[in-house]
Amino acid sequence: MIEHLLHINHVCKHFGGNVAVSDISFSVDEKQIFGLIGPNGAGKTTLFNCISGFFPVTSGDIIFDNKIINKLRPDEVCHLGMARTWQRVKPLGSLTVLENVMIGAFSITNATRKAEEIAFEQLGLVGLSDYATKPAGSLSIGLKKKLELARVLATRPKMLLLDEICGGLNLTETDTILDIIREVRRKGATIVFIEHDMKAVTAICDWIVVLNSGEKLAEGRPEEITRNPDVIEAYLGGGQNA
Amino acid sequence: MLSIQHLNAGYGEMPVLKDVNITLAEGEIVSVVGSNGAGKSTLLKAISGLVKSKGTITYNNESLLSLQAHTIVQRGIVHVPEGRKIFPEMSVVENLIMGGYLHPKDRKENMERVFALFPKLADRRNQLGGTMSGGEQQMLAIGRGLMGNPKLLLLDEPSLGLSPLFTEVVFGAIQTINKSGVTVLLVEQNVYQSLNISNRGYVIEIGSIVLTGSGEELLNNQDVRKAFLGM
Repeated sequence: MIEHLLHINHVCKHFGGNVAVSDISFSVDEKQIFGLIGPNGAGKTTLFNCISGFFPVTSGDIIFDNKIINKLRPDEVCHLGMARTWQRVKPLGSLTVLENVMIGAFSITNATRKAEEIAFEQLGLVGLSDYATKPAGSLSIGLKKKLELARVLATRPKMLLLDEICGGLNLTETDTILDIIREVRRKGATIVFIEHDMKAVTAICDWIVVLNSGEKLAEGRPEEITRNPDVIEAYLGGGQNA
Repeated sequence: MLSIQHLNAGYGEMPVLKDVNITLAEGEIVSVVGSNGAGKSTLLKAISGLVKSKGTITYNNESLLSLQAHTIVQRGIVHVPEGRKIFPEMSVVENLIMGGYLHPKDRKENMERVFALFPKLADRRNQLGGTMSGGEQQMLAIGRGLMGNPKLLLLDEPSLGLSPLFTEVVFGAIQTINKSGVTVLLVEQNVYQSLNISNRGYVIEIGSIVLTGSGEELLNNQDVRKAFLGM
């Protein structure tokens, strides 16, 4: 097999009669930053839910690191080295920032001290060290997104699935997150990135797949995608946000 | 229409807004711009009675401070909160009916207006809110707000999670809603778009207003450009 870290092979996901994901295939190479974009309701998050084991697929296969993972539970997928973030960040608000990240670390160690060590390392990476003892609920959305990143990084993933990690952030905060993602990739991880902020997508992604109504509309490098007339019509529009 | 003076608000012991002064004239679109954590959402919550505050908030010459949230809605102030907060176990139509609870006579007409604005919601009218995608839930949250016949619409990051194309649609819709006579107070991370459609704007930093001007003045302000537009 070729060295794809993740291979999505003719994946379909139906909810009753509603086809959310329809015969999607693509591959993600190791150390790639891979963008998944498309209109609202196109099936992006549903596909993430299938990949990370939260939804069973209706048909097709998901192959991660040469293993078929579409029958595995989320925790099993996580142990194989795949971690995801959620659109709506929901840290355990009354626990401290450090404790939240330690929960991620406990997926790879049973030792509290080791978990703490891993958690501190991730907090340093995302720039939250000063907030370690603060209750997670008190953070602003910008910092909660960083906490979300630190928490999944603490599982030491080979691959990160990021669902709108820049959603609700201003330009400065987005830039910081992009820098963190670049650093995470430099350290060897592969990233799949759902995002509507096209400045962020084109700045960071090596390759982009566009979904529309559950189907693959296009695939290519950022500069190809932003010029693609079908993508402009279905997703980008002609305005300031494109 | 709305006048906020020396407003202080916060959560428990933690102050968030410090001596905030803001006015809105009828028919205006006014933006509040600022970093995350600066107090923008708290400001909207103070107006709609969800957060206790001190100072004065008067709306059409009536003080809002002693009123409860449900009474404030009756006055025509409708709040579309950040983070959607739709009713996940209710269908799209049921969510919209909840938004129009106070105006049963206008329900049909308002719902048609919402469906014209967001055809996606019409396609999914019987689907449970919680099973829709994030962006679709955002559309539903805005639609539910419009069902309440707002005179003053408080929008907290309406474009969050929407595609570029739909972000344009939503900003266009805000202008259309405004032209139909609704005054709009807008909080957005999409600073360019929001100032672009606004008559005036306020920049808020760590709970205080630090700058105010017309939308155009703020868009051309060096500090605003650097901090929020990346120019």
